Amino acid sequence: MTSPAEGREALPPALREAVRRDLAPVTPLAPPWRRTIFLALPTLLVVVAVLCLLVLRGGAANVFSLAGGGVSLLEWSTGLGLLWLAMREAVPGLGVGAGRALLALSAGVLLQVGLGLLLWWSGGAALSGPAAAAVGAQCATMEGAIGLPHLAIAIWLALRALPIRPRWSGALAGAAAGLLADSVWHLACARNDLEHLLVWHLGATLAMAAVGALSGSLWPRRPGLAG
Amino acid sequence: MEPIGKSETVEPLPDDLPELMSRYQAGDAAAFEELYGRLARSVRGFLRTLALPGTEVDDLVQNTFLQVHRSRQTYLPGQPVRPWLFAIARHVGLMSRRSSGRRSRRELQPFDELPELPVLARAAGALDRIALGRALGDLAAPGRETLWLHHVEGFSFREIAAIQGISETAAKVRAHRAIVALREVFVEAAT
Repeated sequence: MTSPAEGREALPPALREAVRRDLAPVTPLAPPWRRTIFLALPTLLVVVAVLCLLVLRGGAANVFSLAGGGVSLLEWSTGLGLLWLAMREAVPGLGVGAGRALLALSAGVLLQVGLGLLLWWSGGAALSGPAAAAVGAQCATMEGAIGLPHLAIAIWLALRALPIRPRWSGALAGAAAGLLADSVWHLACARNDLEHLLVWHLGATLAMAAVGALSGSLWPRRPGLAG
Repeated sequence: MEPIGKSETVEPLPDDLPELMSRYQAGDAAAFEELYGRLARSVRGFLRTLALPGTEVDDLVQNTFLQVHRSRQTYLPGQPVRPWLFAIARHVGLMSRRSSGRRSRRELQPFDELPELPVLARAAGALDRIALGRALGDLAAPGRETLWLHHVEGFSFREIAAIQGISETAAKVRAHRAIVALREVFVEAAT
């Protein structure tokens, strides 16, 4: 079998000209883990700051329980993992693939469902009627307010690379933003009933994943030399 | 045929491609020219496995390197260059195929558009180069692509998985099925 290195080809003049026109030095993209930390670290600092605030206010028992700080840290860690996958998926040759991306997204959703069940079993009292909707809408709004800046930065970080499957990169980045937002807002939300957690908290995460996937689909493709 | 998982027939490329790529990222035009000279032929062969006609492949090789140029900041220093570049080539090829409405079902690719086929040295006597080319052209595109990447380009299944966006196991299964299909073609031809 021949070596692929055999036989060299001359650079076509049109390509040489196109490259010559724009040959400025470029700074290589930071590795996926560094771009992940860039986005996730500020969120962790916010989570820790809120935890400290709660401790100072005398809620130490809640903060150090699974239902309090535990859920936040679990969600933050999972969001971190999804964000890392989104950053990897955005670099050609490092992609995780559609199957693994779907698996990771499912794991993120299952985690939030599992944590919701855990909180509900630990004593969630359900609200009903307009009050439930009002509280839910407030949670969704706050999660959006925290998550959308995360989402915008995550999408920008992912799509400024060259995602081969931008829809999956976007969905992963969106789900990560949703989980990171919930890791912060969960500390402020006192509702533990299952309906509230699944509809408004998980719903916000899924909505952000959908927005991320949509952003990826709409990402413009660059034309080549031949059009 | 070579057993799946081994590619002892492929000579390793000199591993100075990352250094070339870093020079290119720093604005060295000669480094780009060197990269093109060394990799264009491989990229052309690979693009043809995606069932694209020869005339279009020439344009796509240029488009691949143009995309490489526009995205050169996405290469991470120190990483292998070829998986990065082949993932871009595959993306460019699939985009082109999708935009022109072609599908990866058993394409009836004319034989004269198949790439020059490297044949295993010990099999060269037994296998008819033309028959091998025809049989490869008759394989489903995903299997042919995987087979090509592994046995001709020497990529590991892990690298192939990253290029194709599938799991390592799926890449092995695709290659295995393609080998089985090829074997059936030759058994039928011999009987």
